[in-house]
Amino acid sequence: MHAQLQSVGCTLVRMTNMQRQGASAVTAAKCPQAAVELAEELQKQLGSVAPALMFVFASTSQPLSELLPLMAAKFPNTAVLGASTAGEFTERGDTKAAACALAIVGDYRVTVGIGTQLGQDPERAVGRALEGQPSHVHGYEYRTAILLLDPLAGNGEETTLIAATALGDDVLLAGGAAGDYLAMKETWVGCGPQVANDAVVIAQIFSKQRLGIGISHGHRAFSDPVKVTDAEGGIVRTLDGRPAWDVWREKTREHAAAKGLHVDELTAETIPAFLLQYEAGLSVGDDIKIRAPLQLVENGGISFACGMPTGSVFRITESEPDRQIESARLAARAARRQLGTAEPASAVVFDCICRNLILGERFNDAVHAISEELANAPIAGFETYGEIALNVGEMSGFHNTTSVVLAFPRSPG
Amino acid sequence: MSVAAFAAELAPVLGNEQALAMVHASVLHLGHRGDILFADQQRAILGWLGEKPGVVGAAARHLLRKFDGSLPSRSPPPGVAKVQGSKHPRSVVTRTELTAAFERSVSTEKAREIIDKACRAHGVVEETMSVEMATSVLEDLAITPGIIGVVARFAKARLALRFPADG
Repeated sequence: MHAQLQSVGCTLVRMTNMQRQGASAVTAAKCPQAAVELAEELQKQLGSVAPALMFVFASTSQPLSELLPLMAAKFPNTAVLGASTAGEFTERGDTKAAACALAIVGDYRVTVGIGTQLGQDPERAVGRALEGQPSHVHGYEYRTAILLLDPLAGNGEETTLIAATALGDDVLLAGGAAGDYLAMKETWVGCGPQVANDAVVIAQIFSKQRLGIGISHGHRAFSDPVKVTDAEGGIVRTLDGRPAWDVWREKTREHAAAKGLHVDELTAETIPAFLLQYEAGLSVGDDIKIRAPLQLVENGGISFACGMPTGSVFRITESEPDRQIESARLAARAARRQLGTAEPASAVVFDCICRNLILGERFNDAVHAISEELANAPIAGFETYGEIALNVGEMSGFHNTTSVVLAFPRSPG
Repeated sequence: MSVAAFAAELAPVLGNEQALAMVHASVLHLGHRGDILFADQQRAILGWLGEKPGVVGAAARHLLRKFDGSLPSRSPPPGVAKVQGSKHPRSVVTRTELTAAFERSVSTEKAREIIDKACRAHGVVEETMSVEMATSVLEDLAITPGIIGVVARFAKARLALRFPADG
């Protein structure tokens, strides 16, 4: 599928301090009614002002391939991006089997594209997504890129690096890997009327004010080091010379038992959720970077959300609920700090499904913590299979089990 | 820069241990000696790692692209301004144009292969690139022995005439 460029400008509207510059909406209706309800709610909040940018996050109950084209048609002057999810939320709280949207109003120029065959050739997919997009827009000093990708292509980190390289050093990068409610079968991303799997969407937001990004995970390593001894792409076959799943069960047995989980009683249906609670932590400087195992493959191998090169050394991690909630708060706080003196107008959040599994009912506490730190501005987000965040000048961009908050500043009135 | 410090640049992607192991392997492969890596050695290591598939290659190419903005790997040729980290390139050059420069001397397929490989080593995935980036790509090819190097040097000179430096 050839990349399609959708370039949208937003006429600067003289706004008073009371003009909403962001709006969120959520619905549990099925398509096409879901599109009607989301659009009505957003238009009720924003009035006649056309958003420059819109995010749409859809559960498997509202297939993205149906919802996104409908939303794009209802907002023809808006750059509409979307992803399928493993859960959705707004500042009102967490939802399941729903679709949510975040509309952003302001003086932005947004360009967007999609590239397919991500698993086969990530360079070409990124190239196609970026084809025709400018690297700068006169008068708009700041550039932020949004990346939405299919993690089942198995090359999330590689794709993020390729995109970061292509975009250049002066770009802030944020985004997420689509989900499918832990089915691990098909995840979707889209822009405008185009929706695809095995694809990557890249949008560039050109702005006159800086956007703010915050990243935080709440994990702690507890195992001794484990070395990847045989891997290809995101598939780890052996650890320390033994089948990966055997090693994982051995290392997590005691910690899991303390929580009432018995590793020998896990089934094909329960293993994915178990793996997301005990993830890999790569030592990076004095910190750890989390790598999410997704599911078992043949011969005791484990499939990860991104590439795990042979020779990598990591420790298995876990996290307690309070640390998870605090880390969500810290991510939002960091994003707000980067806005400088500007107040937050809205924020999009990419948060790992693992948090929801760890927190259960308390996931709403994490959502509210984010909302509080952002002065209750409209937010929308989805539960991902991987998070993307790269501050200007940084090296690594693909994270797992991490909260990534991208805050949009309020324009002065 | 020390080997350990250089490895730390790759650690955010590969992890501490893997990054150090890869850099040590590169140093051995390329025959470098000592614990200090100079700019051209760093570039050579990243160029070699950049050929590897997957995350390792992508990380090396990304770091090379960052370094290209700060490492004075060679003096800019006369008549071509070396713009460091330019945010607003004056003009663009396409891969098709670069390929065409070589097509006259080698086959079209070979020309495409040469340019694709050189662009990939510089982290260029798009069809268009800045004049500065195109010059860097040609500079790398210019040191290739034989007809490729000759063609690259001519192409670089023509680029300089086409896009003279400001001032």
